[in-house]
Amino acid sequence: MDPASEQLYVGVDTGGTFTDLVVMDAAGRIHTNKAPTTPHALEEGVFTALELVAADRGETVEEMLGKVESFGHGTTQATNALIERNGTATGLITTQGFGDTLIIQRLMGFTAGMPTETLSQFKSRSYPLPITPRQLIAEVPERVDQAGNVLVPLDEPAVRAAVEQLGHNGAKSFAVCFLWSFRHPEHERRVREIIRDIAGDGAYISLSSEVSPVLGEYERTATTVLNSYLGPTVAKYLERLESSLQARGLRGRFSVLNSIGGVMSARDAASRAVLLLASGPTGGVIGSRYLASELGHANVITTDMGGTSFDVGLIVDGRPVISGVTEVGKYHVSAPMVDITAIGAGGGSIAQVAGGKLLVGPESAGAFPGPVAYRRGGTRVTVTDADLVLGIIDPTTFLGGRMSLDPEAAEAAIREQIAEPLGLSTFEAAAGIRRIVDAKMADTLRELTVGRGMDPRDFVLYAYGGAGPMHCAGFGAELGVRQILVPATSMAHSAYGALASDIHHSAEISQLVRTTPGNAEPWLDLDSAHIAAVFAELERGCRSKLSENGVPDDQMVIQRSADVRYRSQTHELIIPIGDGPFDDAATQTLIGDFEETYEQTYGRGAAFREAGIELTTFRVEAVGHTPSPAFAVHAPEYHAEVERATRPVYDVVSGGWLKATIVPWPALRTGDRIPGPAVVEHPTTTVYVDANQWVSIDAVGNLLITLAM
Amino acid sequence: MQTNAAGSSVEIDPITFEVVRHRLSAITEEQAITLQAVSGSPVVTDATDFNVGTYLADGSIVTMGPQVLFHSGSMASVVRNIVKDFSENPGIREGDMFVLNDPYRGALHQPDVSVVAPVFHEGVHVAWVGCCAHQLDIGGMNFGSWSIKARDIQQEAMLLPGVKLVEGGLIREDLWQMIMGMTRLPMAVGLDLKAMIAANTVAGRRLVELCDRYGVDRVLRVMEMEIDHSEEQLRDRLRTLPDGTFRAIDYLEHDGHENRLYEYHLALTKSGDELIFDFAGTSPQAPGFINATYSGLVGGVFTAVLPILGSGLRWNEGLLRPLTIRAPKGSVVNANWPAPVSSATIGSIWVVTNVSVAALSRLAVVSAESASDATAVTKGSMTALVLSGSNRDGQPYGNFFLDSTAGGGGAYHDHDGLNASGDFCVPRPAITNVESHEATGPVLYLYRALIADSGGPGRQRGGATVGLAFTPHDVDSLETMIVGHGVEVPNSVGLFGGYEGSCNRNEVLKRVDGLSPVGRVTTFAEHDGWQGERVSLGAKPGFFTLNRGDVLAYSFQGGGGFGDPIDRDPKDVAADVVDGYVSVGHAEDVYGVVVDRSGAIDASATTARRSAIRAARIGRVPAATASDEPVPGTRTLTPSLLLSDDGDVVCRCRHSFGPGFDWTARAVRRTVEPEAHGPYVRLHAELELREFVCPSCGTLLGCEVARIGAPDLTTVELR
Repeated sequence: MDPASEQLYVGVDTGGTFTDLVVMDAAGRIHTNKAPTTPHALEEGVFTALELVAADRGETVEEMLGKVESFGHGTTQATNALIERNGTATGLITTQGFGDTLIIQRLMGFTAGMPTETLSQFKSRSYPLPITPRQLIAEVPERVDQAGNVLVPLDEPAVRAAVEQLGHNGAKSFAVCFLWSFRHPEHERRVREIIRDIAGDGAYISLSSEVSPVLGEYERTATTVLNSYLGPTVAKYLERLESSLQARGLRGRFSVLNSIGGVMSARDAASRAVLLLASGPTGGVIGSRYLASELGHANVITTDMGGTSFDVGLIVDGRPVISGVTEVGKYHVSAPMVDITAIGAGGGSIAQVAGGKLLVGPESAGAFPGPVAYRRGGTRVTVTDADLVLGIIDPTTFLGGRMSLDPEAAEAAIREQIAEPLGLSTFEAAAGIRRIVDAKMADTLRELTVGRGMDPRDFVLYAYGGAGPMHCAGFGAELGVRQILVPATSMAHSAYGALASDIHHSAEISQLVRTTPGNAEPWLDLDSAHIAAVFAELERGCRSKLSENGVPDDQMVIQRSADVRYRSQTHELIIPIGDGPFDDAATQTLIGDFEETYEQTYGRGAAFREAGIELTTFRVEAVGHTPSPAFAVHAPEYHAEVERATRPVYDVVSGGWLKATIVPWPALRTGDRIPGPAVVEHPTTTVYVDANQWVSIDAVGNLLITLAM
Repeated sequence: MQTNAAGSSVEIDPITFEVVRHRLSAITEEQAITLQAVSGSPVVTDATDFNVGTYLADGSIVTMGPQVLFHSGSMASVVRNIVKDFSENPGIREGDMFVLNDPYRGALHQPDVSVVAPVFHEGVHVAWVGCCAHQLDIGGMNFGSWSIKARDIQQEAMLLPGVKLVEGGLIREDLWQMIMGMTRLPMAVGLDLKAMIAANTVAGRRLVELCDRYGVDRVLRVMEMEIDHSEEQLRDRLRTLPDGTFRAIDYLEHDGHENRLYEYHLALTKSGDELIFDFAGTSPQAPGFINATYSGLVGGVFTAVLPILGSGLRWNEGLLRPLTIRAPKGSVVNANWPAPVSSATIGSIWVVTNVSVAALSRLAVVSAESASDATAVTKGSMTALVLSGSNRDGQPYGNFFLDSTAGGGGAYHDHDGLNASGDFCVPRPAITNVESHEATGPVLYLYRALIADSGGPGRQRGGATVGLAFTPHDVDSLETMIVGHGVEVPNSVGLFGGYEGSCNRNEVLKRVDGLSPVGRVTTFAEHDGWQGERVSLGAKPGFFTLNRGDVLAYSFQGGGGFGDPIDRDPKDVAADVVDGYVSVGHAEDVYGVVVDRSGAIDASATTARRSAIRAARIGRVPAATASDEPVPGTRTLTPSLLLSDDGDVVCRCRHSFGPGFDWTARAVRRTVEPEAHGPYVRLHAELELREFVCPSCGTLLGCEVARIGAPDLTTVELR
């Protein structure tokens, strides 16, 4: 064997239902497998998956781990700890007079995460169970103003008393968030010293001026408290996993995927646990970005359709779209994260007739009891049942035959629950379910692209997740994209993202810089030297972090950006800044880019320079490139002409049965161009191609669905 | 003008219906996102004081956003008035948009500016899209356009009757400059108008695309069906409820000129699948700016109907169709031109919603299916605070503070009201961060916190309110204006024995030389220790100057309680004490629960205390105990009263009040001091607080805020 191929790269993603694993060798050949996620101890599922892949490769886990160069991990550990409220009891120390900030949540807590269609039910609005109850919140005298002036000095005896009281009330970790602390971090730092003094050096402490030094005390407090609430749990888990991997032979780098799509060392992740809150779905977007750069796709819509939800991300000009504030578990986290929008649409979404109308989702049967056809006790019709009845899923080969489905039960349920009440045939009813769920997903995609001034025709749509490849032909056509790609790694795409990620550090700081209203040349009001100094300081911090992770200087890529808005607006646009020194010319370019983006987003003529311009946050993202192999050229399993089977599939558009070509994915060869309707089958996934579409395969094994012109 | 009255004959399959319907909601959502992103004011971005929607060509609401609900009812009238007044001249053509803020032509009050646009498909006018957003200043005698001393509408603000601001896709520069010249904040208003134009452009374009894709007749048919469907669902729901009349009264103090008390009477009659809201008995219109026009009245009623009887339904014109709304012409809820109306939203419209919520909840609670949507009044008042002056950089500064939405929510039959709930008219509220306020203006906050004992006590507690204080910072002074109500009227009434939530409190702590208030005033309680003069402001102090060193402190109404407070589970009271929402003293006095700060309950002392409270109410040891056991031969009248098959009103303890719905005449009836209901309950000199108690078991069956000497209100009458 080629010795180079003995170097392995591993990505693992612990999702809600399955733990997915991807192993790639230096030649770019991949092995994937999945094991049930074990929520009580996630590492068990990881090792089960490792054993399955090692067996596929014909070696032991120890032999395989011994060859691993890099082990990337995307984890839902932080999210689970938040949702299940089993984080560490955290004491919060805050400015006197403002202890209720985290309780009041700017009034946003009781509607967070509620889809608009459920807002009409006022009685169901409720605040989240507090991550930190009122008894664990202590106020201390101190006050700093917006310019960073100290108006009330820190009352140190009061801090001591507060720390002791919080400890007495059960606090095991600490968070400190003072008003305007990012303009004057000294008070928070002093509190840390006092906590260490009292609670010892081992105490887990988060300072808001370090975790999230941005304007907005509610989101900053929530982010800081969540960091301390999740930190100890995440740290313990990562330590446990890393040392078990090492005990079984891992000598390569172990790193964790964060929510902005970079990897961090386990140690960094443990101190910034809040950055892992969207680690799971981010993997898919990052895997897509890596693939997109290989394939030369600048703009990509990533779609991950699983059992309960449909997660969407965007890659524009090769970069994932980032959001500054993200809602997680009914709290609002102020840290840059890959912007992922989720709606309740998946294979498990329930279809029902209410008031003579057919509704699909957001209610879901999930994995348990799941669709009627799973025979696990599910009695309500789901999207997967419709797919089965329409012939898109083959009941005998679903999940490589590991799970047998009951098409008769699915058909009976659709007939009784949907078709008869609506006076339709069973197949019309099933087709209706499919059309509605596809249209909903297309509406979401349209809001995210067209709604932000982008034309979906400029994008390639990537589809992955359990149900994604079965539905992408429908929602892709509905959206109007020209090309849909189902990645070769679609069955474990998030894990692939964890494998392919670069090391990433970001730093940001809020600082309000404004131009005068009415100034026709607003850049003249901006002090470019001052802004350059702010960026330089942020960049120094990021570079030294990358150095600590062993990234050489010439492998660091620095990207600067600023949040910009018109004066008095509250919603900013993130404007990237080009390389080179930040001088007067750069300020002018920045303002030009802002107004260009603004008009692109909100329409020509929307710009309103007369109002004046504000820069609110400055951000540096530093990426340390880590080498990982390119995909191996795909070698089909059959070289002779494959005999292609056919089976009838119900076409939801024309409303009739068509003869669909059935072809195993591994048998497709480059140059094959198969017209739809077609079903491409793989042991872990099913890809459906519509009547007016074509499917082909590229050199590395990705499927391409092209709309007939 | 050619309009398409929709293809009522077009057949729509249920799948196309659902696909197109979802798309219409998505368009409305995109409209709201665009408006919020472009708007320059936290009134829009945080407080969501705006709404958006799509309408049929005749103005019927097809979709609306989950933002301030008052607007949704009024925007249909905006469209209808433009169609009525301007179809001929200047005409309604493709690429036009109209701007309107005249409350006598559909607006709620002048600061709520609507921009609506006709949508044309292949040259035919098929629909409308529109936005409405509260503007920070639209001129008139006062900054912020809350024209407290106005006596007629001409003094209050600019008045736009539906002017064609956009013609053939272009903003008319002459009209644009005219509007910019009449506002004190052209930057903010300019951004908001552009935001509304952008949102309408987006929505109009999407609607046309939808018509291209599915055919205009089909899209219009779906719009009509969607309205019909909601109407049918509401009518179905109404048919499950008993026929009867449900009443509520509320009050508003101070009309801008004098501290007079205005009365709002509502008799809601439910008959078959219809609802009649009758405001007969409501006070005549006021000489000042608190009046509502008819469009405001509709907005106020619709706001209460949507979440209570429209819970879980899709909100559109269909929910208005079963309603009839009547009010005497020339009354404070249906004023005659040119009565001033610039504070209508936070004046008469607000109180219209209060009485509508109370009456609708009295109706909803009678049926098991809708009982869970019945709610005591949520934060029954609103305070507008406007600051203006110079900013720290010398630029002009002006802002409308909406932290005052952070009052308490009304309690439900099975759960407490929300602490810091926002207003009933706002489904998804938000307040601005303190740091954002301090970054944009020369103010420094001293505290912003929940206030103990502010939620209306009840078996289920009303939500606690927030209170806050700030001082001018980096400048010598700020011009301040406060307009509100509910300082001397506890508008957040409870239901079925629940108490009222706290009243508003507006205070200035006057500066003391050499003493910064920063670090000295950090809680609501610390006002008591202030060394300087402490000025208690009424409901409408109007304009005053806040100087460096002065403190402005205000707090809002808590939510009303639900059911008798001494029936609250002692464990819930103890949890409230531990969390600090209820004080130890309040727990004992009002809830009859003897508990210490750690939450330890003294069970026998609690039993004794509760018995003593019951005995004190009726002047003797109770002879019976109420129970939740079903009583054969009766049906529900209220959660604590039953109606027997032979027409007697019966307490859950089996005590019979005899026939007739005026059972209060045969209850133990007492008037109590406002302090008995909570430390922040206050009463106007002309008001009193009444309690109605079962003479047999001592259960508190109802409370009433009433004008002294007025007869008791018969709140529920079933037919």
